[in-house]
Amino acid sequence: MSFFKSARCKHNNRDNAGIKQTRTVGLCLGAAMILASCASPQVETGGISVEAVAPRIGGNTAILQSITAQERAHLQLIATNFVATLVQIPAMQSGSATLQINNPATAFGNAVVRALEEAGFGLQRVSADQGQNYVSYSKRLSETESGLVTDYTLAVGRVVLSREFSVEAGAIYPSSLMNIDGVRSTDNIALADEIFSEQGGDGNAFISGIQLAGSAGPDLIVRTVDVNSFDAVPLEKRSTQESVFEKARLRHRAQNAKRSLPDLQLFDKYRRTVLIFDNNSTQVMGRSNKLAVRLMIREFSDDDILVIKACQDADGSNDASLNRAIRVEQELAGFGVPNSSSYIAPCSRSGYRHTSDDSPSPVELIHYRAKKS
Amino acid sequence: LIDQIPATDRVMAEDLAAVAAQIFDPVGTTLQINAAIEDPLRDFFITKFSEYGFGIQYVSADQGSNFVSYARQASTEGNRRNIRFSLTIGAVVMARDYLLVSNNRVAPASRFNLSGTRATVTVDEKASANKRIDDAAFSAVTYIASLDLDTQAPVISLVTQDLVSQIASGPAVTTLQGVNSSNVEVNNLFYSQSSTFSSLLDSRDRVDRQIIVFGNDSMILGNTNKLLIDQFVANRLGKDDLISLVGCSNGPTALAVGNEGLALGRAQRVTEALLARGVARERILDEGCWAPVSAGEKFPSRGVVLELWREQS
Repeated sequence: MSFFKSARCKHNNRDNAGIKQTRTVGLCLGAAMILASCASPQVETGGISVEAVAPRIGGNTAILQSITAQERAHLQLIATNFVATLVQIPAMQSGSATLQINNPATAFGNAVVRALEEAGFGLQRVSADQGQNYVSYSKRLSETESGLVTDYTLAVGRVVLSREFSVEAGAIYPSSLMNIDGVRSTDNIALADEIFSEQGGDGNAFISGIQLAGSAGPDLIVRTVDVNSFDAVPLEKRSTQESVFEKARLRHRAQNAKRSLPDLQLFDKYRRTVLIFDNNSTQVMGRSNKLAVRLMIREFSDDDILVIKACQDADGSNDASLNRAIRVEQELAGFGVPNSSSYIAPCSRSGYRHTSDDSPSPVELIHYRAKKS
Repeated sequence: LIDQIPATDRVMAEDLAAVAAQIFDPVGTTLQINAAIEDPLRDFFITKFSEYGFGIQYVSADQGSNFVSYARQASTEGNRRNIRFSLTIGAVVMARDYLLVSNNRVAPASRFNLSGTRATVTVDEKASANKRIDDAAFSAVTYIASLDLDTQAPVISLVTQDLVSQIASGPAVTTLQGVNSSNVEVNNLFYSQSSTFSSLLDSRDRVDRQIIVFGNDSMILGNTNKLLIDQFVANRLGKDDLISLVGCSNGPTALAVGNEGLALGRAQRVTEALLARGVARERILDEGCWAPVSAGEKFPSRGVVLELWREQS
């Protein structure tokens, strides 16, 4: 067990409200040393229904009924935490990755499959462990010096996520860093740890951070998150699983969109089309736009790139247009265009559209071909 | 929710799902399904697809190359109650008419109409408590043109340096490019040395060639040409072949659409005939060759050149 896994942080520390960040080990070590008995925390201890955590298809509702509503809520939080991390791993882009699963036989398995469904992964039921992206998961209970700790693991193909969690007065918190195996880098991955704070606490704290393949690299960032009673969010107002995944995906795509365009001098402009979205807010492309993408992709080859120009906002901001560009990028990925070959162009700040303009919104898609050397 | 579905709808949905499982390889295909729609029939389709082994992906809008949609249209004709059930996956549309015999029994009233695919489908159906077989001839498929032929995709312009240079060099006698039946801009092959789609054909061999001859200043296909296209599709077209198609009009014409309209119109007419036989639009590369003078041996004066391109083995 690595140092960080054993450095479980659960302490009462009202003076350290908020989040503190530090590089490497110092703070976590401190946190581990300040282990203190917990006074009865005033936490929201609500639970969730079987339907909220059961997979849409192939779920085992009997096993979910056999646990309490609160335990279901805890499993949902853990599964959300894992899957929100997974959707930010480049090889696991939910828009284009299909995962192979067995029908879940455990409560945690049900929660994981439902979370993968909500995250937009393609899920294929298999009879054994077929497939490159076979999903497996485990839950192990350990008696440690810090009390009972449960170690959860989610593996998809070669990517393995694992983290320990512990229950304190009805709320569940991470008690280790998120360990990720099977990826080259954890840069640009942000943990969805705020969902644990929404349970509230009584001066509790947990550690947050990612370590790659169980080692404490020089760029390791660890923070402690203090959770107080005022952090509690009523059950009905907590972040939904869907919103957590959407936020994680958008964050990843926004990071991806920041990649600078390659030198276009090395390419020839080959084809161009203008896709028309019905209005400024829709994500529906429609049959005609999809047909155009299908026909345009037909001529795409490995050295080519596709540039998406969507920013048409009057005020120069690009939120709505970025969403449309991302939608087109998703469509390209759905047709097999690698993420590394499609680029979202920066906002061109064209000013002819008034902010109240809800007329059809254009997205320009340009196909560039590498110049023959 | 699935329990709420009438037995008749189950029969029809099962029929279409069984056809889909023959057109697409379930193990290698992930279907995209809108998560926002709460519909028992959608869930029933998901269950069936999942049983066949398809990957299922929930999406928020209409994302994906295999986006699934379906429609159930009821109509009455005198005392007859008819239902047209259709299932669309990506560019493939499957549809069939049914007669509602009673509240819990249907009878197929047509063959399965398939568009966007030439996949071989075997229909092996038996009568059951909820399904009556009135006519064994309906246990088959018919390949038809896409029901959404009118869907006009945005124009896909061609921007090549050659083209830009030619336009910059001054007005030409005839246009140098036009828009084909799929709204994709293509070069006028009278002036161009190679197909606009040549990059798609690099890794393929030409395995067959057929010329469809049209009447003077005419875009009418005629029975003989229809028969030739039937044979071309039925006997020579392979599963993953591409069809290159060049509509030609070289020589004087009295039509207002001119040589360009005539050439691309002929190409469109043959494209429609191929679509009507279930050939997917993306497998057809239609172009044109037009000029007020003869192209010599290179292209026919008033015909369409069909070529079959097969992946190199």
